[in-house]
Formats: sequence, structure tokens, C-alpha cells
Amino acid sequence: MLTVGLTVNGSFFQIRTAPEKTLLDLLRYDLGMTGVKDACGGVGECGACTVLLDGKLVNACLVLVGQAEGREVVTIEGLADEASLHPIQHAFVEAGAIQCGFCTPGAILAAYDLLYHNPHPDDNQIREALSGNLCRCTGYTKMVAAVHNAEKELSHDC
Amino acid sequence: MIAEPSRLDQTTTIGKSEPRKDGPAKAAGLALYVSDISMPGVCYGAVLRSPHHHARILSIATSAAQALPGVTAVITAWDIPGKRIHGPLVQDQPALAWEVVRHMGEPVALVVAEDKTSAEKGLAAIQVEYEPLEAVFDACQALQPGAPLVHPSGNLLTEYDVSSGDLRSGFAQSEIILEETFQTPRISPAYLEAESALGYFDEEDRLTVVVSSQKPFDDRQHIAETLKLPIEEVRVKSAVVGGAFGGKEDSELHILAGLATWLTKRPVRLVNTRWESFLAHPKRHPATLHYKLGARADGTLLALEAVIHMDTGAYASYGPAVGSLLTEMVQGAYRIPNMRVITRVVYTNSPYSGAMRGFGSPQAHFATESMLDILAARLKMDPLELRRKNILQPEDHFFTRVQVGETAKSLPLILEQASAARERLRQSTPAAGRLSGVGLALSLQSMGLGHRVPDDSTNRLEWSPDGRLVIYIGAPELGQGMQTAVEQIAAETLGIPYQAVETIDVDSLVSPNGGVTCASRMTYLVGNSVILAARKLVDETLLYAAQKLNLPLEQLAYDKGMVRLPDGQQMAVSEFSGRAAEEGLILGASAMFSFPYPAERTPGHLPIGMPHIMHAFGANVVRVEVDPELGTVLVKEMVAIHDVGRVINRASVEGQVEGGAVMAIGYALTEAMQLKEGQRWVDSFTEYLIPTALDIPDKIETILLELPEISGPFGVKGIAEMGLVPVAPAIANAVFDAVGVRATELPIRPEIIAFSQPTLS
Amino acid sequence: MPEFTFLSPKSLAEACQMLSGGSGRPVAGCTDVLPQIHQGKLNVERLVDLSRLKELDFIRLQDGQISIGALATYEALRTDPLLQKAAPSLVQAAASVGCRQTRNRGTLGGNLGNASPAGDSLPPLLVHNAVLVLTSRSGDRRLPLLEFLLGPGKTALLPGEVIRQVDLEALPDDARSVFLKLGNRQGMAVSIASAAVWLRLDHIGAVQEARIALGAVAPTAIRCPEAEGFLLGEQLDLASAAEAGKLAAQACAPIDDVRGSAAYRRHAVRALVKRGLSNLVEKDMRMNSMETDTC
Repeated sequence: MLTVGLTVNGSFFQIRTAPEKTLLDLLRYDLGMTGVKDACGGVGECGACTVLLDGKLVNACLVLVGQAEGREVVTIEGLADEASLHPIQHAFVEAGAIQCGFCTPGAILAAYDLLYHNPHPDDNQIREALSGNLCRCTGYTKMVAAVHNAEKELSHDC
Repeated sequence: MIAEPSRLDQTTTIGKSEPRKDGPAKAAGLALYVSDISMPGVCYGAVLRSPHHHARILSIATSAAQALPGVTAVITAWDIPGKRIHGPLVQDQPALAWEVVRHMGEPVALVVAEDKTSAEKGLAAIQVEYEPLEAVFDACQALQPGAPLVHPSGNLLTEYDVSSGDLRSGFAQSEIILEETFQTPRISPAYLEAESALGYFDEEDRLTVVVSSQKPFDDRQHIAETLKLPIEEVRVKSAVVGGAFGGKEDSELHILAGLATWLTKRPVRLVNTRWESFLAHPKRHPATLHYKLGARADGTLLALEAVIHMDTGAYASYGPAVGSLLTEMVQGAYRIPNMRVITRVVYTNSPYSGAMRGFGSPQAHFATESMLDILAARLKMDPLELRRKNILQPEDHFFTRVQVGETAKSLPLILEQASAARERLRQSTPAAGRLSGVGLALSLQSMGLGHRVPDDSTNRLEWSPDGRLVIYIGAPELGQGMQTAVEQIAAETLGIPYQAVETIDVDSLVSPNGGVTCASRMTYLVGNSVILAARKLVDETLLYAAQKLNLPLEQLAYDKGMVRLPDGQQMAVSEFSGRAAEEGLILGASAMFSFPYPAERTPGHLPIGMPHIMHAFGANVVRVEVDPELGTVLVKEMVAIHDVGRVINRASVEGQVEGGAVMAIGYALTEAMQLKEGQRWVDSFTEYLIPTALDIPDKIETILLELPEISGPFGVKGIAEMGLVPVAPAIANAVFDAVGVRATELPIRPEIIAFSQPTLS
Repeated sequence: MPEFTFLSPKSLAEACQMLSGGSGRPVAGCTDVLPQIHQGKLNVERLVDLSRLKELDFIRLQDGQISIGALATYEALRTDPLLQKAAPSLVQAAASVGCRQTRNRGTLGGNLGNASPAGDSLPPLLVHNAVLVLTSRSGDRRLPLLEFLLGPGKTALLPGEVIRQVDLEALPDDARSVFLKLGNRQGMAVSIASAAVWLRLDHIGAVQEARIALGAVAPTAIRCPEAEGFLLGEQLDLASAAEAGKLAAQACAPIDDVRGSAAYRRHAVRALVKRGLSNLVEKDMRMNSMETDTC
């Protein structure tokens, strides 16, 4: 067993856990962050567990809990709550880019990461940024539109 | 007066892309799927699955596992109080195997433990003695004499043989006869949320199972039968569903969750891992389709004989129904006076196949639409003109003897759009070193479950005390936007804002039985049921108002959420629903709508499930770029043309078309769940490749035609499956246009292009 | 999920100490190790986490030699300004790996240690004559990459050793290189066949030196001495490029698997090498273009 101290969505937590657990296990089961999801069996193939780790977009299923010690994690729950959605979340809703919603948290974080580094991406860059997030419902097309809309919204805010 | 569906032009919410109400929660990561629901003291359920494709079970020893710390129970078939064998159409599938296992991954025992680690240790400690048996993985081989027997009744599960006209005469008159065999693969629906179920006892100590399912009420039935409980003692609730596409019409995991909870009296959650989802839940049927097509030299189709073998795997699931629809869809959008279709649904030791988006239609269309292009090439005819020459007219009959009807009026419009789209797409220049090809395919899709299959939807409407409309919907939302469409239909019908309508998720305690969410018919069925219920609700409301106001009923009228009094005054509905609530009453109404099969339109001589009588047509025009040396195919542009009757929510309909199209790109180019080295199945996303965001066309244009269906709510037909159906053959036809290589097998492997001697067009 | 102990060394020396018993496995990004553990393909007792050893995370250029620390991630390789000029084929390979999430975690050291036949960094490293620096308690030793890769998943790493860095020749001003990859899908694509091509031409366009490395078509990434030897002194044109491709295809030993047949992989190698060579001759524009040629 080991104790891991880490910051998640701005709050500090100390969790007692087992070394073979991953950050996905910790976030979902120890901290109840159910927005971080498992769709591929923890092999890093689907992006449903996407989070930001020290500002970098990663799959939480591929981070061992020991590796998360002392780090800062942002999950979808940290982007906004239901009362006030982040412009990217709002854009996904408005554009019809959400169907079953299971891939949505991961895709939104990928879009967030993209716009942070590249405020005015073209279609190809958006598709590339989303390529680590599998979706079976939408065909991604409206996600691309949503990111364009979000990008316009965010640049107005500056 | 409530809105009459026939007044199609002036609508307030119908046609608008109203944002779905569950969108914000999903975007915030707060939507609760089965695996997210917090349940104090919940146990972890894990299934021991057969490592063999086919084996006799000699013994199952569970005592070592039961003795482990953290293991609450180990359950086998012998612990089942009631029915041990179930199935949606044919009762051939054990909840837990006890004599024989028929596919790799079949459930043999169930461990209930305090946590995942204990459960995994429990699984490892169960000792099962197997005697491996010979296995068969191919439908045609399974029908050979001496093939391993999957079920004692024989490997042929169902055979359909439907004809019309005179096949011999048709071929005799044909100036050209072509034969070809097509193969389509086993496909996983690959919804992101794997199958899950959570059992617990509710506040009234009633066994409750929360499911990710297309048919909670049927699940309830199966659970009750398994546990030998009266149905009222089982409650089933729908969680937020993370995609289904047909794969969640089977009750396996729901039954196991009910069983585990009932026997241990503890809450138990079962969530399939991805490899379990691949191996042990329904797939799209692989099929071999042998076609013989006869035509005149001018392209007139005269005769079609098709012999189809479908591999339904170890258990029947919806195999017979898929076979029946596939049989009907072979004809496609064309007039073919002499036809015979033989479809055989065959057991093998493969993971079983069942319902999946399209339900046989994608397989049939791949063959039919490819065959037409093959004929066009032989006759040196434009493939579009060949189709135009043979398309169905409203007064024609399908080979099932159903009259095609008004819906065929969409075909000339679809062809016109397809022709224009093809021209547009032909203008694009490919990237250096690539060859451009444009191909198209038409599609026929049916709505409904088919004749003589019970197909009713019951839904209930109530006014809340504050005057909002609450819909108790009887069938679950799967993510496709059905709830939103139904809310818009209700809002438009009652003349109230979309925002004032809410839907209650399926809960057998409060919801009426609305049937299964499937078959492209929910908006139609639920929408119609809601309109009927709305009329009754208005009557209820006016009746109550008349009583309370002491006025004659005929002097009151309903208009847009208001009750209009004889003196012209208006009172909000909430005045009455609030008053009723104070009296302990609810103003509400239910209605059942049954899928119509008018006797004069519906021939009665066909097997159950045939025929379908409501259809819609569509087309897909696609431009691909092929690297002739490496054989790689990129889908660059796509135009999807579909007659949906009426667009309720444009963004939702486009979402269904786009999602279906991209799913079909995977079908055409990258997906196959096959047996690989070491006799293991492809069972992970590492090897089963669904399209990523980089695998979609640069552009998908969706053209929606609205030729209203008279019987549909506001003219709605259906959409969920249509977007997928024509895409794979359109891609195959585009590849032929690009490099002259005819792919008769899906997925189209780069090798067949790379190793061919292409005749560049 | 198997159980194991997780150790967090604070220095490279401590890491070597922890690995000296031979029962530990060094990890960093875990993008290969964790999936293998979850799929039952890898059994480990202890994992030694190198991910916090800052001293292994660097990219340096000095006197015509690039040194890349084992912890450099694919994202770091993809975006590094030094590497864009000094090892463009490595940058292209890094850009072609997985997706952003995996590139932020996957490291060069991990790709080397995993020694997948299809590892995308390996062909570019081979054409840059990469030499690994392996550290243990007894100090450093240098080993050429070709001698480090022994078979699928097998390396010459000894118990107690850690990959510290990779040294490679920076691309000389008069040389050019490219990386091409064939996958089954455009996104998150695993290589079915890959090729790195490195060329130096003289002032009349004849080949002074050629280096060709292949991935995913043999038990390890390989160089193609026959093809390279054939090109020496040749005027590089379509015919000689095609012949080099043929020779490279003969040099590989691909397998049949669900991703592709051996015959197709051989065919792909022919095409990729031919294209790589033609691509390099068709101009300097291509050398600086960061477009990954995922086919």
C-alpha cells in the first residue's frame, strides 16, 4: 500500500491505495470523479479517461498512482459545474456534438488542450487533436464544428 | 385546439435544432451511467468465462473460491431458482452454462465479492473441468455433413425462402447474367460504454436492477422468470445509456445482476470489460451472399437469385429476425420482376450475432448496390442511369407483395440530388500520387418490427402542478436524441414551449411499457403515442376545468397551454393542475400506439417478422482517394441524401446520419472481428479499429428530404439506421471508379488494390 | 490485475541500485507496459519509476552530435526546434505516434526498452547511427542501437542497467532524411511498415552515402545494407529508387498478422523506400516540411 498526495481540480487529497492502481482508478473510485471513464480496459486506446496532468493531456489509465504523487490533475469536473459551463462545453451542447455522452468529457478536455496551445486551429488540427478520443455516435463532424464555435467565443472573451 | 400534424408549415419547435436537455450534464461529466451510480456497500460482480470455443463441462468446483476472504458468493447454474435458459426469440441461451459451452467467453460462473481484487482472485480459484470439442467458425462449413453440432437441434437455425415471379423465365429472357459472391465481416457495435447492470433493493425492499439497455421491460421479464418471481416484484430502471446500436437488446448481464443481488441480498454491480463486450455480447452477422443477376442489354433488371448464409454464432439472439429483414432488403430500391432469396441463419461456435444498426440491411445493400455497379460496368452504362431505369414506382410491389407506396416518390428526387452531388464531387482534384473516385449507392430501409411482431408503444403525459408537461416515456433514450424529438412533438402538439416539457427516464415503477428502442421507429411510434395521449390529456384537462369552474364542457377550449373561457379569458393549465394536486389528483393520460399493418397492405403468407410495410429511401455519394501502389483508401467527401419524412430536430437527424456514415466507413475499410493467430478472437480496440477523428471525410454534406409519412407524427419516418446502410457499397463503388478494382469483401483491404493490375479510368 | 511494488528512486544511481537485483522493470510513460500488464502479456514484481529523474529529460546538440535523454517524450521530440533541423525523420516519426495523450507520456527510453518491431522512433535512430548510453552502478557503457535490439521485446539491457540517453549524428548540412509510415487507420495508427531514409548526394546528384532503416517488417527494426550499397555512386532517379526499394523488400522478414500479410508488408516496403528516396531528391522543401507521410 502507499499514500498518494495530489491536487485534483484545485483541492488537495491524500489517498491510501495500492501501487498497481492507476490514476483512473484513483479518480473514479477513490475520489468519485465519474466523469473520468474507462471504455477500452485501460490500454490507452480510447481517450475516455483523458485528464490534464501538470497541464499535459494524458490518459489517466496509463499513469500509475505513484507517478501522480505531488502532481496537479484537472478532470472534466474541474472545467465547470452544471450551472456555468465552460465555453467549450457550451459549444458542444449547442452544436449537437453530444449524443450518448460517454466520450464527451475526454473530447472536451482534448479540445480545451488544443485551444490553449492553438487558439485558431483549422479543421485538420482539430481532427488531429481529437484523434485520441474514440466516439461511436457522432462521427466527430459536429465536434469539429463545436470547437470552431468555441474558438470564436473564446477569442471574443479576450 | 391542439396542433394537427397535417399543418406542416407553421411550427414553433418542430424543425429546430433545440439543444438536448441532457447535454449540459453530459458535457460536465455529471451524467450517471450504470458504472457511475454511487451505491453504498455495493459488491463487485465478475463473470467466469469459457476459455474454449466449444467444450463439455465435466465439473465446476467453487468451494475454494467461496472460501476466499472478500468473496461473498460464487454462483452457478444450479443456484438459479427459475428459468435457466432464455433468449429474445429462441430460448437457447443459458444464463450460466452447466453442460456445454458453445463460444469463447460464454458465462460459466458468477463471483460476487467486496471489491475487484477479491473478485478476480475468486475467478482464478474456481476450477472448471472442460472436455474440449471440435469447433466450427464458418456458416457454410457448419452446414456440411459431419460438422460439429453447436446445438442438438442442428446447425441450421432458420431458413427463409421467398420468391416472386418466375425465376427461370426471368433468366431465360436475360441477355446478360452475372454471378458474384460477397462477404461481410463480424462487426462489433463498439459503443463506448460496455454492458453494465446494477442490482439492489429499493426503499420498499423490491429487487431493482438499473440497466444500460434498449428494453428495460423485457429485461424485467427475463429477470423475473430467472428468479421465479412475480413480475411486480422486480423493478427495472434505465440509467443514462452510453450507446447501444442494437447490441444492448439482449439481457445477459441484467439477468446476472438480478441473480447476484437476489441470492446475496447485497447490491451488486456488473460491468463488462472491453474484451468481454467483444466476446460475449451480440455482433453484426457476418454473411456470405451469392447473387445471380439477370438483365436485358438495355439494363432492365429481370431476375435476381440470392443465396445468403449468415453466421449467427453460438446463440440465436435476434438472428432469425435479422435474417428475415436481410431477405427483404435484398431487392433494394429496384423493380425486379422475378426474384428468389434464400437466407440461412446458421449456428457456429463464434461469438453470437444479433441486432445491430441496419439489422441485415447493410449486408444486403453491400451486395445489391455493388452488383448493380458491376452490371453497369459490363453494360458500359452510367451506374446512376442504370438505377434510374429500374427504380421502384409507387404503384409497384416489393417481392414480398407489399405495395411500395407514396414513399417511392422520393426516389427521383434522391437521384437528382445524387447526380448533382456526384458532379460536384467529381470536380475535386486529389492529392499528389492519389487517384480520385466517386461512387454512389441507394438505400431502402424499413421501419418497424415486421408483421405479426407485437409492436406497441405506450406513453403517459401529465401536467405537473406548476403547469409543465411531464412525459413518462416507455422506452429508453440511447443517446440518439429520441427524448428530444418526442419532447418537441409534445410541445408542438400542445402549443407549449419546448422548455416546458420534461421526460422521466424509464422506471418500471412509474413508466408505461413502451417496448424496445430499436428499428428506426421510436420517433414514429412514441411520437404518435404522445400525440394521442396529448389529445386525451386535453380532454381530461377541460373536463376537470369544467367541473371546477362549473361551466359546460362545450364552452371551454384549450389553446397553447391555456384554458379559454366563454368570455374570452384565459387561465393557465397550472391553475388546474395545481388545484388538482391539492386535491391529490393528477391530470394525466396514457395512450398506446401500435405500428399499423393495415390488412389491405399486408400479405399474410410470409414468416413472422415479414413483411415490413413502411419504408424510406436514401443515397450516399462518396469521393475517395486511393493510393494505387499502397492500396490505402481515404474517404474525402461525402453527400448523404435521405428522406426522413419530417425533420423534427435537424442537428439530431444530421448527427444520426453522420454517426451512421462514419460507423459505415469502419465497416467498409477497417473493422473485422476475426479469429487470429493462436485461435483467439480480435477483442480489443488495439486490433479492432473503429474510425478516429482523422478517419472521417473533410466534409459530410447531409441533404434531408421531407416527403411526409401520412401516418407519422408531423410526417416523420425514421432515421437511425438509414445513414449507415448505403455507405459501404458507395465506398466500394468509388474505389472501383478510382482504380478499377472491385472489392467483393469487406473490409476492403489495401492488399487487393495494391496487388491488382488496375485499369485506371 | 496483478500486484506489484512500485519504487520511486530519487536519482539515477538509486534507480540502478533498485534494478540491480534483476527483478525490476524500469518505467516512465507506461504507454506500453501498462497495456501489456492489463492484457496479461507482462508479469512484473516491481516497477522502478524513472519519470521524475529530471537528469534524463533533455535534448542537446553539441559538435554535430545530438544527445536525447531517455525521458524525452514524443511530444518533446515532435516540437523541439533543434531536432527539426538536426533529425527531421525522428520528428516526423514522433508526430506519427498515437495521439496527443500518448505522445505526452511515451518516452524515447520506453520505445527503446520495449523494442517493439514496429517502434516508430527506431528506424530514424538507426539511420542516424544512434548509440545508446546505458548506465549501471558500474558506470556507463555505449552500445550501438543495432546491437541493442535483439528481437521482439528483447534488448541487450543487463539487469541493473538503465538507458540514460541516445546519441546520434546530427544531420549534416549536405544530407537529408525522411520518415514514412503505413498504418491501417489515419489516427492512432500502429505501423504495418515504416521506413527512414537518409541520403547524401554529391554536386552532380550521385549518391555519396545512403542509409535505409525499416520498422515493423522484421523481428527488430533493421538497416538494409544491400540497398544502401547498391545506391552508392548511383544517380538517384526513379529506376534506382525502385531498385533500392526492391532490395530493401528482400532484406526484411515480415510476418502475417491481423494488421497485414507478410506479402503486403514486403510490397509496402518497396513502395515506402522508393518514395522516401524520390521524395528526398524532389527537393529541399520536403526536408523541412513537417508533414508526416502517414500513408
